[in-house]
Amino acid sequence: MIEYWLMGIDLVFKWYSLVLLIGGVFIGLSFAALPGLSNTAALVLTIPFVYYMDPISSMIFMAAIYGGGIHGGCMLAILFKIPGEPQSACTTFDGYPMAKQGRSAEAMGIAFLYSSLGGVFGVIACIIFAPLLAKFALAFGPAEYFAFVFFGLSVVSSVGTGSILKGLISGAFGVLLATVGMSETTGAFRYDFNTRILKMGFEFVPIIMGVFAISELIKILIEGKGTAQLDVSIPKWTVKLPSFKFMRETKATFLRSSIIGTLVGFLPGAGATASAFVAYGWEVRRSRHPEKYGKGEPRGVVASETANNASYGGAMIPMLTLGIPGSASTAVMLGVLLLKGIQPSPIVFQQMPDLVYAVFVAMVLTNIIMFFESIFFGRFYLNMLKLPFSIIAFIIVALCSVGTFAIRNSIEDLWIMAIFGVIGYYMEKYGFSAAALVLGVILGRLAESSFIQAVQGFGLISPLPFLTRPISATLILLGILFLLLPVIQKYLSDRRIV
Amino acid sequence: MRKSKDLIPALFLLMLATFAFVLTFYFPEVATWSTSTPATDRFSVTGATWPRIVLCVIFFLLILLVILSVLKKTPIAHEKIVEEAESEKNLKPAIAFVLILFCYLFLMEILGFPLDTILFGFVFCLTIGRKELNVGKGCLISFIISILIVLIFSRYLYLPLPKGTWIFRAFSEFVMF
Repeated sequence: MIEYWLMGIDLVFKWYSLVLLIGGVFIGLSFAALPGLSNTAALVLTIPFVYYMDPISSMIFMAAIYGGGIHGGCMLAILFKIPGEPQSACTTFDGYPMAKQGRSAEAMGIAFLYSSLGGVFGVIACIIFAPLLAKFALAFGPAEYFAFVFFGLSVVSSVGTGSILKGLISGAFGVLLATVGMSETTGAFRYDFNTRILKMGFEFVPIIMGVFAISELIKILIEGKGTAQLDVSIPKWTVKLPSFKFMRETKATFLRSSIIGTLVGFLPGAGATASAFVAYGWEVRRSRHPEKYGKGEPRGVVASETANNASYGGAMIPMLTLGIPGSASTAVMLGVLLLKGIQPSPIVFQQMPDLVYAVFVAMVLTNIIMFFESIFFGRFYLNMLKLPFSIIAFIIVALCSVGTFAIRNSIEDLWIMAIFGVIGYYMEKYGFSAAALVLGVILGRLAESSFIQAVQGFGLISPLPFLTRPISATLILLGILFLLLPVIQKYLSDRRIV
Repeated sequence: MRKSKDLIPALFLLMLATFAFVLTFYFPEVATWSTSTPATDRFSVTGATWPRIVLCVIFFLLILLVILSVLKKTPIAHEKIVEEAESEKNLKPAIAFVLILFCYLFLMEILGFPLDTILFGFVFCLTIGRKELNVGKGCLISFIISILIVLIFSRYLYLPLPKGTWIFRAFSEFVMF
């Protein structure tokens, strides 16, 4: 174990990796300061850069962007009541009132410090639990893998949409898209319409670029939320770090929020936004003075920022160990790993410990770097608000084109990207989940091959091979339970009202 | 009262799924056989097996969505109508963006990435960005960004980029190598 850690530290503490870490945090923080453009878009746009990198460097870079993106949203939330990222929405409740009372420096200091501390807590949880989960998952066969894909799709179907049914439909269409091209089990061509590009099947990168980047641009244009439309004046940049007395007083809030953030972040589909809201709600309920919350209570900022950053480590656990991303951002990271020829699974912990432990070290360092970067360069990130939207959109389209073309040297992939940009916009408009669609495309082939292998071994197309093995049966039941959870919750709340 | 907005997309997807299901009957009949059962009981797995299973799930989910959207009728709120009318107003720049994007991709095969991106930047600044930037500044910025992107990705990161045809290919090769 210790040799793996030393290997990870050795890989991350190279000048090249440190530059990637600092640069990744910088990109993540910059995108967090651009309202409308998500952390996922930042990750998608770096895909052309990671082609050049080895798998370890690309994951270090991605982990830094992801961490920086989660952290950076608090600046706009506190100063302008604009959550740069959805997970910072909760920070506006007390951060903005603090700023209005002239305590913006104090609110910023609390947000920066507790973001980093919460992030480190989440990463430590990831370091402890990911290898344990990986060990457990080593017993997986085709039936278990299929069950896991089912479980993943059923829980991720709630990402980015209020309706689980629509999320499931999106995921199922993603799985169907993955069937286009040559079948891995029979060699037959499907849905190819005798065209070269469809014979090769859909690559997930053009789809990711389309639904996460191009569709966001369309959405921003339609909603008129381009950066130039925001009329904001940037205040003087000061940060006041909290005192040790304050830290002692809030240590219970910190611990509770960290645990909630990590646990909720671990649940696929829940993510940083849910973590922040659950932790904040918990603090309000526990407080002796709940009336203070929403009016500039520093503990509110502590709870929200600690929890949303703690989810960073939690969300990485299922992605690294089982290849099941808990959010749109981790789905992009999974895509990058697949692009590098690595299928995240328990075996990765045995075969590529250098990758896993380098990512762990990088995640810890990300939380430290982002603390200093946000204090010293905060004003620079706020200036991103002044960048004209047309320039940002132009850069995004050009980078998406480079990244998409490089996959197979094919112009047709660029058309797929553009078409999925439009589809992605309409999916969001009608409440379908782009993240579930992407996950369906990414996991579709694994689902097919594991399903066919399992039923061929059984000799019959039936659900029995999945229900007669304990792990796969548990996973399938858990997936079904997850799907039925909202219905059960609604039924219980209706009964309570009656 | 009006029907839920889910009905039209659900019906559209249902049609799409039906079309996909019909297509499965035209897949080439390449089969693999199960090996665990006696030869007489063996069943075949063709290329159509898995898509049909997925489509059956899709049908079930979509029919559920259609039923729910027919049952759930929503009242027309005044704010909703105003909101929809507001978003209609902003449709023009979005349509312009999509059209420019499609033209950009269409011309890329002919002009190559460097020239096409410079042109796209100019057109983009003149249309979408005309309220934010003056024409000269916008064009200059987009020109510099295009050249930077080409240099970074082709010369330093060695990524392949479309080169175009005829004289434009020569221009792309000049810029990229």
